[in-house]
Formats: sequence, structure tokens, C-alpha cells
Amino acid sequence: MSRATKARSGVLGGLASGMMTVAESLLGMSCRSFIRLVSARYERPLGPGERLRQRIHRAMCRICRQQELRMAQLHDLARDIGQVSTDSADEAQHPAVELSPEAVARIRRAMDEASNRPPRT
Amino acid sequence: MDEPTVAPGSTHEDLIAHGNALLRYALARVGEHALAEDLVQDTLVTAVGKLSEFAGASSMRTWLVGILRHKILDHFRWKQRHPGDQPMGDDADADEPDPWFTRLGRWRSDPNQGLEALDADPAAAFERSELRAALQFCIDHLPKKLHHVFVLRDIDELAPDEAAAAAGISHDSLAVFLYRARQSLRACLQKKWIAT
Repeated sequence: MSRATKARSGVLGGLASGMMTVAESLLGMSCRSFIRLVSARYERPLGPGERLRQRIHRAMCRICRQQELRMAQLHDLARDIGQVSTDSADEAQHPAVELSPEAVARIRRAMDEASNRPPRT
Repeated sequence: MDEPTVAPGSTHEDLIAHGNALLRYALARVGEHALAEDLVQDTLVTAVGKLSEFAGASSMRTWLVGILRHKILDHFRWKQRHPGDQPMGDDADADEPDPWFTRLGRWRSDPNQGLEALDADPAAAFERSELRAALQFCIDHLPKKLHHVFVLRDIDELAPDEAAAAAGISHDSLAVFLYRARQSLRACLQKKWIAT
């Protein structure tokens, strides 16, 4: 590639990327805004404007299209964890946490009272 | 960990043996030690009254966690009805910079690279359990606040209102924390799978 061609393609490349940025700002959606909405969609319905801007960005951006799919897969996997495991999950987060001896004594007393056993001394 | 199963004639001590695991479960959800202890006490007292109903179809731990889960949900509902009685948690700063994007909001690197494992068929038990273990590892290593909201919303599947009330934060902050948690998990899995 000659120096002139290289310079031209550099200019064109810069122009194209500049135009993308202009298009994104005109259409009001960057990858960051797109993916924030992908996450927000799990908590609330999106408005018509948000949906339209998302649709335009989705059509233009392969990376975000794929990332939206990955987010959905991760979401399903997390629900899977909720249904399968009940206890091991919390041990790493709170490994050293234990009931205090006072709490255990209090719980024993409450359990005895609930089953009408004479309280322990 | 060995899980004691329920045998006929189970004693209070058999129930109390699960106390620490129940405490950790409650603490991961309510985030406050004294409150978590109260919930464990409520759970074990309820269990005493229901011991005869327990058929042994599931493990005792699973049964107790089921009771505890109801106690926690009741607590969250109460908290939702009495927002003034609880201190609010730290709200999220929505303007905090996003480590995954450039200043103009473009991805710094491909966020999909290395995540092909997620395409595993949901029916493929082995792949699925490997995936779960990897995600569990990443969830366990989330910063505490993100861990808390992620467990409430995406694992326990509380409604957004309930999850926000449970964490003592506004709806907007819930959305910000969840967004960060989900992206952190994505990045963690990428690191894990690209490195291995």
C-alpha cells in the first residue's frame, strides 16, 4: 500500500469511526447505554424511546447483540443456582460466621418453651 | 459438608446442628448479624412445632432453609411496609466510571470472548453443573454490596420492590448495583475461562 493510499485509508477510517460516533450520539445510544438497558430490562419494562434506540444499536453492533444473549444465558444460570443449591453458596461469603454461645443458649430456651419442655438451667 | 438427615425422633440438638449454616444463609440476605440470628431462632422454633410434619422427603437442611426463606420474605415484606423504621443502605453513585467502557461508551475489549461455554445445552447435566460451579465461584467473590443485591434478585428471585426494600436502597440504586454485579460476573467468568 502506498503512503498516499495508507494516508487516505487512515483518513477514511477516522472519518468512518467519527461518523459512527456522530450516528451513535444522534441516535442516543453507546454500547454502555445499550448494555445498561439490557440489565434494566430485567427490573422494569423499557419505554418506547428506549426500545427504539436499542433496536437501532442492536442492528449496528454485533458485539452488543452477542453480549445481550450472554447476559440472558447468565441470568438463566443464576436462577438455576437458586433452584439447585440451598446452602453451600453462603459459606465462602461468610466463612467464619457462627452463632454466638449466647445465641445458641437463647435459641435452646425458645425451642424448649415452644415444645413445653421445662427450661434448662 | 455432611448433611444430617432427619430421622424419626430428631431432637432439638439435631436442629441446632444446622444453626450456623442457617445463619450464613440469612446473613447473605439480610446483611445484619443480630437480625440474622433472630431469623434463625424463629426458624428453629417453628421447626420444633412442625417436626412431626416433616416427612424426611428432603434433607433436614433443605427443609429448614425452606422455613427460613419464608421468614426472610416475611421480614422483607414487613420492611417494605415500614420503610421509615429502617436505616437506608448506601445508595449507588450512577456517575461512577464504568471500568468496561471507554470514555465515549465503547467496549474496551470484546465482552464475549471466552464465554462460548455458556452455549452448553441446559439439558446437559455435567456441563451445566460445571457452569454453575464457575458462576458460584464468581458470585462468592463479588464485593459485599453487589453480592447482596445479586443474591436477592437473581438467585432468590425477589421482585424488584422487595429486593430494593430488603437492601435498603432506592430502585435506581438497585438497577445500578445489579448492572455492576452482572457485568462483574461476566468479566469474572471470562477471566476464569480464558485463563484455563
